[in-house]
Amino acid sequence: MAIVSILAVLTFSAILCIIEIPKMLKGRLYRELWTFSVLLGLGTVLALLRSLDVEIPTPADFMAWVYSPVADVMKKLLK
Amino acid sequence: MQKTKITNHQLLSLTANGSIGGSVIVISATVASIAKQDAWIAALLTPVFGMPVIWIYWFLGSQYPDKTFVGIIKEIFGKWIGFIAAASFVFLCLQIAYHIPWYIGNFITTQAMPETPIYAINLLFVTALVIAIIYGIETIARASELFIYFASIIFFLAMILVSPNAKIENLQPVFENGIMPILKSSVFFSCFLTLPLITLMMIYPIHLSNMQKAKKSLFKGYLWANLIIFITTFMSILVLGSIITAKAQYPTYLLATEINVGVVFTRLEFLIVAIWIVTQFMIGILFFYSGVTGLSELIGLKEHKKIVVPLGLIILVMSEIVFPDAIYQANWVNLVWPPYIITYGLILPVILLLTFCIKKWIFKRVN
Repeated sequence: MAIVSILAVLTFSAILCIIEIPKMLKGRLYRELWTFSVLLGLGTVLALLRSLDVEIPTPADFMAWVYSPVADVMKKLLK
Repeated sequence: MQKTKITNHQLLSLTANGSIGGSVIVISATVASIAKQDAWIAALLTPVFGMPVIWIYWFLGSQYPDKTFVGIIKEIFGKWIGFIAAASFVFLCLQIAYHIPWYIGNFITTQAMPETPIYAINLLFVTALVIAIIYGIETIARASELFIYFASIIFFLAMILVSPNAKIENLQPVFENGIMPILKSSVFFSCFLTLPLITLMMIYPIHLSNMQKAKKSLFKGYLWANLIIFITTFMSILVLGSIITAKAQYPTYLLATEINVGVVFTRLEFLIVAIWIVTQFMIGILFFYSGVTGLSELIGLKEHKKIVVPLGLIILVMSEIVFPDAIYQANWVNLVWPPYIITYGLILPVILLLTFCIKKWIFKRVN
């Protein structure tokens, strides 16, 4: 099952690159090209890790850590 | 930026949809657990606190009619502080953009289709989000106009059908614990109803065609959403009672399962689910659109549509892993979400407003 989703993710990214990158090169949108590549790379890596069942840390934990000083106030509000 | 414009009525429907979307099916649980049978009074009080907040949004937007919220932050705070504040706001938007598909996936897999893998449902929802952003703000605004009629009509139909089951004893005793629990729970109401509308600030000043009537449509849309949420809470407590409402994960859905008129009108709970999915879709679009346009404005891209599909891929993956389970989600939503959204929906606009006024005052003195 993992191999199917890995192949699906890679095919999706490859097709997206083939369609989008020539358009951006033609329009001289280099900034867009950079952002696009970084975001697509990040997305592909995340999807691959997910298909391999690697545990990815969630940003929800990070936000919970940032707002942990006010957690007690919120607990009082909930009573 | 492109010059697409939306009308005032579309702004009204976007406000109402955005306000209803995050809250209609889940909010009465948290509120009923605090205020018990008085939760409906808290729903009546919410606009009192909400209207000044909406007024701040309107005022900030009306001072800079050709800027988005990111532009306003950068204009008022200057280059560096503005960049940091705007970047964290964009991070908030992108983060909530993948919380919302999680709710849809969780709801469908727990209540309706337990054997379907969660990513199949998330894939459908995220694909719809990506397509909507690629079509642009005009299409989104027109769709929201249709959705608000659809949602309002179906909602009132469902509430009328469930009203024979209402028991007035569930409301008594009124004011059992005094005013404090009511005020506490209206904080939660504001966090779900009022403050997510900060994402509207990415659309409202720059894309609106008629600035004079903007205030009226913002307020009207907000009050309409408040009415719907008030009826939801009121009926949940009337029909289910405060104890069951507080214990349920999706109390409004549970409320709609109670519809039983004659032998004909039963099993109509998916009416409520339909409303919830379309309005949740709209608030998802608002967050995702703000994230995408805000990010492209921060980096200085000319076309924000180029980065929608890669971001959609990230959102699809993250929507599956963001909350490991429903208990974690309930804790997160109760303990982390209110301070988080208060920071960006209330404190940031108030600081912006104060800085704006001080700046204006200093310039007046200098001249």
